[in-house]
Amino acid sequence: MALFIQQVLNGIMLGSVYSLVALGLTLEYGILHIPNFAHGALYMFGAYITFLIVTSLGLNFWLAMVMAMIALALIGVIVERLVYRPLMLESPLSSFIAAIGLIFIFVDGALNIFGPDFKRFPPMHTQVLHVLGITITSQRIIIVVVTISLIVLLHLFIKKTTMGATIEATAQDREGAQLMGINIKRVRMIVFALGTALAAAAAALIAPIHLVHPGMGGPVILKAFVILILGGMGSIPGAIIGGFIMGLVESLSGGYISTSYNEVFAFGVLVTVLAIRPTGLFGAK
Amino acid sequence: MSQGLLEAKGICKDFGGLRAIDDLDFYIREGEIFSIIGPNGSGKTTLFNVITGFYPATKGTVIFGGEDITNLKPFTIAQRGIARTFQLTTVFTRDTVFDNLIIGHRLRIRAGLWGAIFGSQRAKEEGRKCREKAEEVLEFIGLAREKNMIAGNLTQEAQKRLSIGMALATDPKLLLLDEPTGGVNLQEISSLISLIEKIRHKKVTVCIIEHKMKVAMDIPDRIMVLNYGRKVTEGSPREVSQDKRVIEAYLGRSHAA
Amino acid sequence: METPAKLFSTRNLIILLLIIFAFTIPFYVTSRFILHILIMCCIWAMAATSMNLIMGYTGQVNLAHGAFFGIGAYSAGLLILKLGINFWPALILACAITVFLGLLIGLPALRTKGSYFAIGTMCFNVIVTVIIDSWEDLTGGARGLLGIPRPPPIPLPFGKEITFTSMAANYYLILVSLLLTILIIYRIVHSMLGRTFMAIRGNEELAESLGMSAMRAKLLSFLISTFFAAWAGVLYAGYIGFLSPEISDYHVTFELLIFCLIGGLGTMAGPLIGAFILTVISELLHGIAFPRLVAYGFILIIIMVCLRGGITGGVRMLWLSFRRR
Repeated sequence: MALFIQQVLNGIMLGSVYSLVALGLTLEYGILHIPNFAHGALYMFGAYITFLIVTSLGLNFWLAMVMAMIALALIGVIVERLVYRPLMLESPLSSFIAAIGLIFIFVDGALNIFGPDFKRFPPMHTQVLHVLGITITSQRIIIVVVTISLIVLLHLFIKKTTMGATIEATAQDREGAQLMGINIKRVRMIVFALGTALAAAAAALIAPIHLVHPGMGGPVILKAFVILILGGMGSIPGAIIGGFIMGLVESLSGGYISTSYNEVFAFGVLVTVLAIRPTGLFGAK
Repeated sequence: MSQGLLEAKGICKDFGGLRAIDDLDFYIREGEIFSIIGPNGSGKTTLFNVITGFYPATKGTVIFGGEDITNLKPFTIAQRGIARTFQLTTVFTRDTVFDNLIIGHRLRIRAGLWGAIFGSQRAKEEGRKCREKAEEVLEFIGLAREKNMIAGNLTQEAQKRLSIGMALATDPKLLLLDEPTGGVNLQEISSLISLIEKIRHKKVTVCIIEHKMKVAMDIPDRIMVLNYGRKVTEGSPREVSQDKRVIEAYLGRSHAA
Repeated sequence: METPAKLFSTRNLIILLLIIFAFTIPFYVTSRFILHILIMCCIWAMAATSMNLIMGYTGQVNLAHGAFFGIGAYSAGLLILKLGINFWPALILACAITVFLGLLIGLPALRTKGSYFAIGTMCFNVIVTVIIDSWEDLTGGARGLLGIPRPPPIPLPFGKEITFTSMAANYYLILVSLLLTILIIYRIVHSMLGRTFMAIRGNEELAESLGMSAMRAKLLSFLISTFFAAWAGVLYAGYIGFLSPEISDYHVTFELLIFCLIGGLGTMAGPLIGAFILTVISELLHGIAFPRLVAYGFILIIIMVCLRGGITGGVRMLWLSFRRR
């Protein structure tokens, strides 16, 4: 029983991180109308930047995370401007291929610059709590708290601010929004900055636990896609719920069955859902 | 007792809570030109989509040539002999006019894998048949000069002709035209009308969705009027044009009185 | 689309010369290294050409191609090593097994469209690699499958036989396979069946309204690609002799995709050009600490943003502007 609760809590932690990543991806998808396949690579870069700031500049973790978010937001803007925008009117395949190019650049770049070894953060937030026979480090609780706060902040931003409404309008109907005088270019830029910043946050949060290495984006981005599809490509609630489900499935199957097959489970779920409902769980046409 | 080439009985189509077509019965006689008119949103294109299998019918049956074709897949229905065009002109924009027409006849041949690889006699015959058909239709629709032009570069009117030609290349018994004169100017309308008459002479039954009153009233033998997914009335052009309910549907109650 | 070319056109002449050149290479090239590169080029060219059928000509972004390459290779390897089956029947069996698996995967997968299909097949690719990696009892896991022998000799009349111990013999085997692949796919593409595939690529709904079953066409195209991917995989197994889960990895799929793109998707020459140029570059830079993928990445983006249609597209534009003068 204790094992079960442990796995569930672990699943919630994982799930919150996945939600954040999937959320960033969903925002980008809502604006680009194609999935940003390079999201995972940018995520990974966010972790490295946080790591660098903490270890080389010796700054506080939270400060480092915020700086990484800003840095990634800038990189995201550049990527959108130079890569995705010229391909806006082409077939989605072109953007997909360009994204693969980005992945190569970032992942192999990280590999060459930082080396293939796993980087470890200096210890922090290591207080351990014992509740009901289970052990949790405060790091994990912080992750969940921070993630949920970010999600709530994002929700408030979208629902309560003018920019948020602008973003929603553009996502729903690009041409209509343009006719209303909305500057699409600026919206794309902001949304992309937001999406990549969220990815950086997620990476920074999970990095102290799962360590930093060039390939860390791979499994995460594949799972984020599974979440995107299950949640229905562009549905924000779908991304959040899907993220938590993914985290729980992975944690429970990893705890009870075997960790090497946990990716297979996630994708198995995806393939099964798609076979039954080819447009995802929450998606429309 | 069958009443015609195409019979629809009790057709209903719902989209979630919205009933787009409500208990619709009608029939189309072989060899006639039948037109369906009605205000925007009255369910005309939806009806075409249900008949041709692009939307599943919520209720009702569609019978074609005595056989029940309700909810069959679109490609099967095309093979049975119903061809259609789309409201937004749909052709293969990156291919030439001739290539567009060649592929139109593909459904009448087998085009198997072995034939393709080994170049069998049958495969060669099939290729020849498609090309001949394409030439024939090319002449018929009057695009012989544009034979090797890229379809995407044609004028709107020429593209409409092409899409009609592609549908004709399938050797259909019934041709459904969805707003064939959409976006086309007055001169071009009359040439499209004569094309439709030519089609009738080839013994192909035609059903047109139309918006422009002139076209909708002049060519067909019978007309059906839809409003809010229901049949308002049907009959000859003269009967329909004098029916108060039709005027009401288009212009509102005050004008009918 | 192309109209049937005349028999003695310039293009056919060039192709004939290339084929003759390819066949005579072992006579004046004895360096094992160069022959090895050429062999690998041919194997990847086979895989890329078949990927081009489903992606370039039928317009479906199939990202599971590497998985089928790997399944073909492993099937043959396992049949030969664990069941003692001779290479030649193993080749046929491995291809049959892979196509069968392709059918099982394709049927559900092809119900999805566009991005969903791309992601779904990519996930399937990952699953296959994970399974190969984890199922140690069957596949040897990460250690891999070792010691796959070269193909056994083919007996000829008068007591002679063709042996595959020399590099040249292997080169010819793989070259012939590549040429067969090109020939078959070429004939498919230029047939009514090929036109059907391209119609699906152009506009699926329109194709359906014209009486073509999109599902059937996509599935057929998918299975044909899978068949040749498997064949290439089996040849890889017989030549290299050693298999590891990486050969089914999604990186393989992406590399094949890049070959097609750089050469020119939807053309016959494209995947060949892409495969040859990039395999040569990659093998030559093998030892050097060169950030190969970073360079690939930049090249990809530049091609996508600036030079649509890859090399063949660029050549075609040049040719057209040249002819206009």
